Amino acid sequence: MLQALQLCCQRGHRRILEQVELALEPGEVLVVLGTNGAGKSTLLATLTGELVPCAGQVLLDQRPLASWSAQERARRMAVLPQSSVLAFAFQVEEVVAMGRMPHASGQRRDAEILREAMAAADVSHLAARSYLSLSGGERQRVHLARVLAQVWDSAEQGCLLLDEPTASLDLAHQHLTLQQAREMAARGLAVLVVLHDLNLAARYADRLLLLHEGRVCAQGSPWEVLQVERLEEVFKVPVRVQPHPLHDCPLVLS
Amino acid sequence: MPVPAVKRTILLSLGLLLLLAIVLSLALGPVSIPFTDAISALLRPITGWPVAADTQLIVEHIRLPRTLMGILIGATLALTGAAMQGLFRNPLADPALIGVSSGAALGAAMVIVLGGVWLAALPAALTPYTQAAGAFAGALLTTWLVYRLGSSAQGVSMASMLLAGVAIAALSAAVVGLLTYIADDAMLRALTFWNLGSLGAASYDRVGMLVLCCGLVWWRLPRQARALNALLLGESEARHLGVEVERVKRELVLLTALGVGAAVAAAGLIGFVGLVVPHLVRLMLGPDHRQLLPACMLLGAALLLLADVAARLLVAPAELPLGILTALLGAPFFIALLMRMQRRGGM
Amino acid sequence: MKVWMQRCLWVLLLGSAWSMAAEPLRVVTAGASVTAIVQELGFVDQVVGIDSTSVPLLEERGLPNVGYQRQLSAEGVLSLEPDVLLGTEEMGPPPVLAQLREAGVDVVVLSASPSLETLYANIAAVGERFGQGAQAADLTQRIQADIAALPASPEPAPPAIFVLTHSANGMLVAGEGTVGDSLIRLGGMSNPAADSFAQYRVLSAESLLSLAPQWILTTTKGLEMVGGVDGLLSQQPALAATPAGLAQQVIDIDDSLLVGGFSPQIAPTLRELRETAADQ
Repeated sequence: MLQALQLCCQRGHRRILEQVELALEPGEVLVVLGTNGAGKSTLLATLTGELVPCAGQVLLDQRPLASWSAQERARRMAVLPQSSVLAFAFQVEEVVAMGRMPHASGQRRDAEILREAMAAADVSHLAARSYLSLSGGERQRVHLARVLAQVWDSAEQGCLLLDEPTASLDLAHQHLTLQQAREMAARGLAVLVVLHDLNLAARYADRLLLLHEGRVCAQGSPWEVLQVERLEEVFKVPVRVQPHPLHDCPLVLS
Repeated sequence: MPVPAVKRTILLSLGLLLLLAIVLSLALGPVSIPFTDAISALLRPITGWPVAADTQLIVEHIRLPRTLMGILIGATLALTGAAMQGLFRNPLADPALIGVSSGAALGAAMVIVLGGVWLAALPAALTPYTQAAGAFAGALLTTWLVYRLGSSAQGVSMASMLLAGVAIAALSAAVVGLLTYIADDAMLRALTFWNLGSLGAASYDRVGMLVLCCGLVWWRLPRQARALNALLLGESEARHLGVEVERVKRELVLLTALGVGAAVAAAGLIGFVGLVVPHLVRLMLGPDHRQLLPACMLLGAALLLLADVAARLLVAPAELPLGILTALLGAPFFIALLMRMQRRGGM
Repeated sequence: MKVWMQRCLWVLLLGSAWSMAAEPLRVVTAGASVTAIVQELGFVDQVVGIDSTSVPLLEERGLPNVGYQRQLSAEGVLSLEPDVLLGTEEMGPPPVLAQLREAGVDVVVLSASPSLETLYANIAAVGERFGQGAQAADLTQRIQADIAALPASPEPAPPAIFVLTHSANGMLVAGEGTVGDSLIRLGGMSNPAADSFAQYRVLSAESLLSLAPQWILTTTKGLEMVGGVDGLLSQQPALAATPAGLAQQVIDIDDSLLVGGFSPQIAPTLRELRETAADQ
């Protein structure tokens, strides 16, 4: 669905990404992990078409990303940024409604989708509020609803990219957001999430991709990727990995 | 936040306000003309009713072009102000405040002074167009300059905009100073004309130029309403929503420069309309550009006409330059806005 | 019947012609010097409106003020129902003048050139237009006599500069072809600035000092606005360092004598200047 082939990316004189290979398939949640400066944001920017790679290609549905028109691409790919700069007093519902911009699905269908997306992101009760009156976490969830609405009915055709979506959220909403990511994957979308928290990654990912100094250090199931030596090498912190007492995934202790 | 039906009512009311302003602009002035006579004079081409020659003259050749200019300029300044605020993601952007209008005036001035011989050879009816061309170039350059100087992920910050405005005003003064060396008296008179915006020199030549330039802006700019909404989320986000950001930005800059350039060339510097009107409209209708842009046009035209009536009547038989009136009313508004924003957390 | 009707028609015609002839022309004047000409020629009663520069001349009359002469309002002027708009080429803006002409107002544009010849020509033109030919000739003769009776300019004429203090670009010095330049020369002094440039310019400190004027001339209002002689010299250290500045030799000239060309009331001021020049 979304593929990166031998991706190299440069910002200025620095080589940020080196020979990154990635394949995102419909119906799965791929979590990208790494230290600060490992290249996660750059990778995301390249996958969304914002940055042009200096070598290698990004393919969406087997076609080079550059060959897609802006609107076509927006119908298939939704991106949730880390933070938002919106400084105007839109109503929450209006912000979420912007997610339907690339589509021509008609007012009624749009209204349905908006309702479902807002419910999924737990912002239905905020629909009539002014965006500027919300807290940081609430704002983040509004944007989540927006991007969900953008690819709500794209099923196998759509992919959802989330950049550190849990940053300003409380514990309950962190889990809510990642659960939504899993549910979207269950409906057929391809979901890529950039995360900091190893344990959230372990719990919600189908596959993990570990970036280290611009290269893919490891790729595979959480069990395969979260190995002690590897983690200690990448994160420079002594860790212990054990099975999670409640869920079928590893638990990283540091 | 009003519901669609309320929004429609508000838009309708703004339309009625504009109609009232047009009527007042045609009916009132230093020369007292009974209202019925004014209407008769307007409708004479159709009805053929007899009207006193001087009434006909005043209504048709003085008040009517003035009213038309007021509508064209008021609507365009408000429209471009709203567009600029979307482009810079800053609700305090205003073409005059950030130096775009000064740049336009400078461009027009340079055309006059440096154009000299070539321009003198052109028919007089074309002068509004050559001046507008100079103003457009000046406005384009300054808008681009402000954008480049101050852009960041958050949009153009208030500090950057104002600093750019100061820099441009200083540059403008310097160049005008230079121009006075080569300008003769007639040119100097024209140069000073622009600093005090006024509809006093309204003529059908200028109205014609405005119809062409502003017409283009009125046609294309409202089509960018949805893109402007998306741009407010941020440039990346807009791109992710399928907006061709670079193309939209280019078009917004060009259209804004064209609108401001034409307005300045026709009537000189009239500030704060682009700041006050979009702000008032947002208070009534919210920031959705699909309603904001047409509402700005209606309210901008109405307010400018009403201000012009005041400018004509307050010190009759003299006339207050319109630019001064809008500054007197707009500047305190701007300061109040700034203070409110600072209290809320700054820009 | 026909004869009776003819007679009535004649009476009507003659009556209206007489009333038109007897009806004095309503005038709006623009430019203090032009207003002064009308004042000196004695038909101020016909003035129905004046521009802002003429207000000091006719304050007691409380005439309607049509504003700054370069920014006239067409309807504003028309509301005074004038027959004539009398002013110089300093009037504007041009579209407004065109509108006034279209409305039937006789827009008379005199020259604003700063010379006595122009003044005499303007007086003659105004006299002719308003049927005051005899008074115009008288006035011209009087002024010419005053001018002839001026004390001779000293040899060599002391250098002086004329400055405008209230300009947005800073302090302007009068070069060749300006009112200030003519004033200096007619006042028995010399204008070293006229050798270097024409029109008004901002000069650098060195240039100002190199002119070494012994007298600084400026406008009364302008001097007031900068706080008098002390204010002027403290704000312009280059001026203060000139011979004129050091001796505090600053002369202020009434503004209304210089707007719209020379005023017919200029002679006494010229006399004062020549006496000052000779005093050196």
